[in-house]
Amino acid sequence: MVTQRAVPVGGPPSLDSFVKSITKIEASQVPGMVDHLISLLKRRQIRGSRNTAVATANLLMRVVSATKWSHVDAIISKIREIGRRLTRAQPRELAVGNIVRRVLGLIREEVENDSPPPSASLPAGTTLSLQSAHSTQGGVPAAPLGQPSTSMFSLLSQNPTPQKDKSSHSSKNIKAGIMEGIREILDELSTADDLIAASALEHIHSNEIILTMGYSVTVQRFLLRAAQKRSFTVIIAEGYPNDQDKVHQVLSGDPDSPGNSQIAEDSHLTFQQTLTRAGLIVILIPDSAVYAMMSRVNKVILGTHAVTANGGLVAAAGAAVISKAAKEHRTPVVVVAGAYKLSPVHPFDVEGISEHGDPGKAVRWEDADMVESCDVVNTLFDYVPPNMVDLYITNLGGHAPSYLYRIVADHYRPEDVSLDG
Amino acid sequence: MPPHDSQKPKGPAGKEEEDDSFILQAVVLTDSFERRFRPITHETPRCLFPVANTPLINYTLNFLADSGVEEVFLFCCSQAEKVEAYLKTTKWMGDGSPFKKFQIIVNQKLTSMGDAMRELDGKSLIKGDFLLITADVVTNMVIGPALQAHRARRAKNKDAIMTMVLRESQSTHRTMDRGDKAIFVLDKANGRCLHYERILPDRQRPFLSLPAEVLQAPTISIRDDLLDCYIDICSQDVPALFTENFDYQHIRGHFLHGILQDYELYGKMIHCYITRKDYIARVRGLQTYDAITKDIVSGWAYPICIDHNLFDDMDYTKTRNHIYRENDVTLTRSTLLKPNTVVGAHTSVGENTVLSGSVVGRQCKIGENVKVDGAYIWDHVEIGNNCEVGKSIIANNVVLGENVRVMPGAVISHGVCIAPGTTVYGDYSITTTNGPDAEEEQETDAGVVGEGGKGFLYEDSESDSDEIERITASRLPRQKRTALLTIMDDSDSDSSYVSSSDESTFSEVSSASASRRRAKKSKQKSRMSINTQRSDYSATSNEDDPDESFFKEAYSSLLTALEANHPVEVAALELNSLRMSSNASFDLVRRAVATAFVAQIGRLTSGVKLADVKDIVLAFASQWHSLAKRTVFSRDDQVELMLELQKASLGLGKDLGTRVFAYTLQGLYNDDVLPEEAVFAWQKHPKGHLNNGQEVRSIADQFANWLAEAESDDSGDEEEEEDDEEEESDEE
Amino acid sequence: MSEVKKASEGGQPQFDILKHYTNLLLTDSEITMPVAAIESLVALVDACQATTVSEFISIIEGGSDTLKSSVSNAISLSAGCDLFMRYIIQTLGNVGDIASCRDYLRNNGRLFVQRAKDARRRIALLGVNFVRDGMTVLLHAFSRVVIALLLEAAERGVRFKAIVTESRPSGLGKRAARVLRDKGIPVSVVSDSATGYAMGKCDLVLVGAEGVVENGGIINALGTFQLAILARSAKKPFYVVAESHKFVRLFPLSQYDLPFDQDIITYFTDDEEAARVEKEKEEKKLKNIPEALARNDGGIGGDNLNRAWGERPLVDFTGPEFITALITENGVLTPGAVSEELIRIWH
Repeated sequence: MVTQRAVPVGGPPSLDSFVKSITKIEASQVPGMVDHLISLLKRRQIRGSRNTAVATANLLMRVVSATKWSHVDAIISKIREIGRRLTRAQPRELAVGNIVRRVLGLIREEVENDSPPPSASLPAGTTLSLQSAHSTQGGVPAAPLGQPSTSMFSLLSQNPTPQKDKSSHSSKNIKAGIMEGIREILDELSTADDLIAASALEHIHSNEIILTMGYSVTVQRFLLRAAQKRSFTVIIAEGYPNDQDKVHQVLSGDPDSPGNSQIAEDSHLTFQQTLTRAGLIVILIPDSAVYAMMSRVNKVILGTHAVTANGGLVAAAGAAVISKAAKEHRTPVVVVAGAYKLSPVHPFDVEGISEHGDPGKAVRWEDADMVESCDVVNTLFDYVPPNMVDLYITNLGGHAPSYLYRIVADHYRPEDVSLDG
Repeated sequence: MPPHDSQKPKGPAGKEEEDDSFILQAVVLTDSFERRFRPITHETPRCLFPVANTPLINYTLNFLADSGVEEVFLFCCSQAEKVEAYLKTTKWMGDGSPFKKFQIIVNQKLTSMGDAMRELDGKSLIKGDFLLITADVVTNMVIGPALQAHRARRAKNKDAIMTMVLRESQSTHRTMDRGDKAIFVLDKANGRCLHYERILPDRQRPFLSLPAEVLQAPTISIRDDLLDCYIDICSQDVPALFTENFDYQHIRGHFLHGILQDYELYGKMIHCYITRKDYIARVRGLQTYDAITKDIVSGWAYPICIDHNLFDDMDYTKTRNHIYRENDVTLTRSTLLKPNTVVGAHTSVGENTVLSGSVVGRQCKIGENVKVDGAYIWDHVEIGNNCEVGKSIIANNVVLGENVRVMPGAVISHGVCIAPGTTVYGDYSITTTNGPDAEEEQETDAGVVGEGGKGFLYEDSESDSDEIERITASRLPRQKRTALLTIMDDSDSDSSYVSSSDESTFSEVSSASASRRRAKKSKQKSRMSINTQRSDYSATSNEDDPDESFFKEAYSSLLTALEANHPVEVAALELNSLRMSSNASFDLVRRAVATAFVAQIGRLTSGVKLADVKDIVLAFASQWHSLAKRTVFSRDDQVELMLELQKASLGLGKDLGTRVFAYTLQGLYNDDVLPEEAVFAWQKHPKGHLNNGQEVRSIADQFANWLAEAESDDSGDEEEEEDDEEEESDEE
Repeated sequence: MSEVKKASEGGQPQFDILKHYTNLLLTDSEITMPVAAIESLVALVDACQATTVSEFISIIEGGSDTLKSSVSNAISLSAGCDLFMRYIIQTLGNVGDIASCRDYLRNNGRLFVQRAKDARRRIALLGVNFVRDGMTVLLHAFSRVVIALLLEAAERGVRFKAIVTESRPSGLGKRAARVLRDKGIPVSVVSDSATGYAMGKCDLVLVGAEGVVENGGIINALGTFQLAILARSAKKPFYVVAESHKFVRLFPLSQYDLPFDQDIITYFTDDEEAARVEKEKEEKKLKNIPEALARNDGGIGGDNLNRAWGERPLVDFTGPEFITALITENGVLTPGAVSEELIRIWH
């Protein structure tokens, strides 16, 4: 038997090695794998919304398949517990929690689908409670009390906890259903960017000047798709100090420049497809020039790290300045993000939302005098309040920020919003 | 230790070129065989020191886990039971361990790294290339590239036995251990280490001796900016070589030196892998402990950050200004946490207490009105009300009574109690035990810890002289902001390494190279002199040489200027640039000016009647006074200038000298270079009366007396003069 | 109290809903009006002997109307009543027969009430995240749920300060200050005219609500509107903390669309007349509190007494555009989400 490693010799482990190894483990190794992902998250070895989401979905799929349960509550509480630990490991990667909640929602839905239609008698309010305030009508059996499916009415519905009858469901069917659902989530993760890009032509017109910032695969694909039919100008703010290297590489299309492997890994971009080769006029500017350029810009297109429940953005540092400048010039700001980035979490602590990255990217650590005389802070994310964004484009279509709560609500069960307790 | 498989999931190995059967092993030494952290290390082994509230060894093991190390051999010597007991509580030895094998090798008899390597060789545990590291390294490095480089070299040439992993830094960087710096001479083409020389703190030689072979490489680089954390990728040959040379103790001082020196004999090569982007540091002494904690707190070791809660039981959150709080920290409303502060779980802090730049451990109780600035406070410490704690280390279970002052630099070891109102001075190391080997327990010294306290001053029985040096050294004024812990460290050097025998090794090396040098003298220039004047360690180098040479150069250039009647400005500019380039003091400049003045006057007046001397001197003074003025900025300077003139005048003989001196004085007085007070101060200055100084002062004395009589009349002028002087000095 | 008499004379000789309601408010100073109303209606259902659907509904509606008419400003009370009515009608629609419906309500009545009471606790647990160490919170009037949230934060060791507006004419700000200071929270009470001055010193505005209306706006103690405008101009987040049983079926577009009259703007040409009216108002207010009940209360329940006897604090309307978010037991909702939820129930 060829032995294989979780951590490649010489490290560090990557998403690929994690995903590869997780499909091959025995059931008994699952807890170890959970710990492994937690430490990968803590050490920031898997980072970025998509990567963490993919890792989480893969892990949960394995957990579901490996766990034997007699009662559906058992698997729900197990997933919740894992979710709690994963989100604590990297609280700023909201995508992890999103996937966990999606999976929880899947399980609940499977259970509801699987359970026999509830009797018409009043006390059968149990399924009602499982139904979210926002659940869609399709596929859900009619609740006994008509459709009082609002959270307000949960006040008057029956006790939401008892689910005693769940154990009778064939966990085998449910399990297959859940696995299928997680596979769909994984599909969604890999196709989200394409679906978003599909609407590019509706939003980018010929001869427009588009401003974007830093390096985002989603934005990249969006622009490339538009470039197939239209010719326009792209202004890219380089995103110093965290993104500029990637931006330069993508623009120069040099696959040999250091760090390209990382790009290749998380983008599957072929370098022939870069913006410049797609026939666009590309202007690279330092971040400080954003305001100066804004008066010429027709549209700002931003990628984002996460979207909070209120429609705010957690995006790469610099996004707030750009959206502010855009607001000043009445330039529309369009945000492209896969739906998996939409989080039901409210930005309680705007300051705590951002992580402090490696200061060494701004000032070299060997600069003894600087290190000694001042603190260097490299903030990774900005919070952009919802009123600064004009349009969100997700794989589900375009949405106004004020409508975003609905998309969020459609994706998550209210009982799963908080993973604590 | 659980040798059974940790059931790690298996995937195809990350990189194609990797040999699937290769298992990365690591040899970790928990003991540094140094005594720098005594007396604290009597009770806590160094690898369990909390750095940012996490035992140090975790950082090292975390690095190993990240590097894909599968088997770890941990060598423990002193206090092995504590290390083992601790590790059993962690994930490293638990079920979810990232290591497949984790073996602790306990041997109380080990006295050096060399012993450990020989033991390792004897046990034949090593299957291939392995990572050698000490358990006090903090790094976020990815070992992959270094490992690949090493293995590629090995594949080509089996004699490339070791790769040292070094971080490019600066010789003045705070994480550079002041007690252990080295110069690496490398072959620039392939990173092979050609020569290694340690810079001792008390280094006298401002030059480096290179063996001739070194210069055969087309390009060499000589670097003093490499931070060496003793992370080595070794082949199996390394332990074998240690066995072969049973006197090798230190891996750099002996092993590296030996291998380089005896290249003809062994033919082995050692390479360096220099990284520029990773964080690598090693806790060597208090200075580096301080520096590394600061680096971690302010995020330089990213992603090794406190708020990432990398290790088992951590639960920190971070707020702006690098303030970290663990769960269940009780703060009052008036408690102030200033930037760069870490507070561990279950610690309570009282009203009006200010914590700044400090790390406070878990379950501490800090009272009211306490000021803690830059201190490292470990767990279960109680600090009474109104205490003031400066930059110091306060180990576990210490109790400070009310109103205690802990001055910067103090080290208070485990379980010490300081009675209320006591002051702990910066040069104190207080402990309650002289270590497990101590024959008798020492009594509490009430003079140190106060009445009712517990503990006594620690004295290192094994090196009394060192200890005395340490205390005196730490009484020196601070040089820089960081210097505090530095100073304590400098003289506190590695005992096993800087032994007398060791010194002889070094001298042998240089004599050996000298003999080779003689042999090859005809062929090539083999000795390089490197002026280490600019570097940090030059403080201890011979100070006379540059000063003397500056004086000579300044004097001769001035004399030329005076002779050739250069404009004053030109002469001044020349003098100044000379001063700047050799970083000379103004004392020297003054001496050069005074000497040159007198010498030139001597030339002008040679063969002239004594009566005419006055006019010549006054004319000379009025022409050149501004040059003199540029060298004086305070009253002391003025007196100093006169004393120098007096001294120089002696050389002209009594008659001429007396006159030249007095008239120069008068001329400078007339031209506002020297105010009356300066003249009076000179008159009283003891140096002016010394020895034969008397010979040339008679007329000058008269002049001074005359001035004293006239003083009342022109006191107003005098004030003006003073103002001028002050302005002058302000401008400087 | 004329209404009381009217009610006791009217439809329900066996069960006096108003008395039940009043007692609830007086005995439990922590209960809110809509919850008390629901609890009273549940009791009414319990006592009701009706045999036909229409009789049943008319009895419940009658009780509900009695309650609503008993107070001058029935915003939050009607929220509870309407919700309950809606629920009964829906239950009947599903079940179709009164007996089982009544059994169901009887069985679950207590649960409803308990859940409504728990809502405050849930909000406190959810909203406590908004209060961060070192913050200053600006409050208006006295809202039990806001207080519960802040006390929860204090309990967790969050070191915050509070600025409370006096909130005239009710003066309830002082009461909020007393409760908070009791727990060692530093509170500054500022006059309402100092709100603009104080705004720069706060990080967050938290207010409760009498009712949350269909467009996502709120009806709350007089002065909330100006606070919201100031907060907006100072770019401070303005959060409303409200249980979802306070959602009411109203769609006001301005201050003057509220379904009751408030004696706030009154014109006089005669100064003496003005003074006299003022004095009468004061006297009326004092008279309204029966001595017998005054002893019941150390001040903390004063608001309840007022409410029980129909004296309501004056209110104004704050539009959704001023509200950053509403903190409810179902999560933190944008005004848009609240609006949707409300519309969904009633349309």
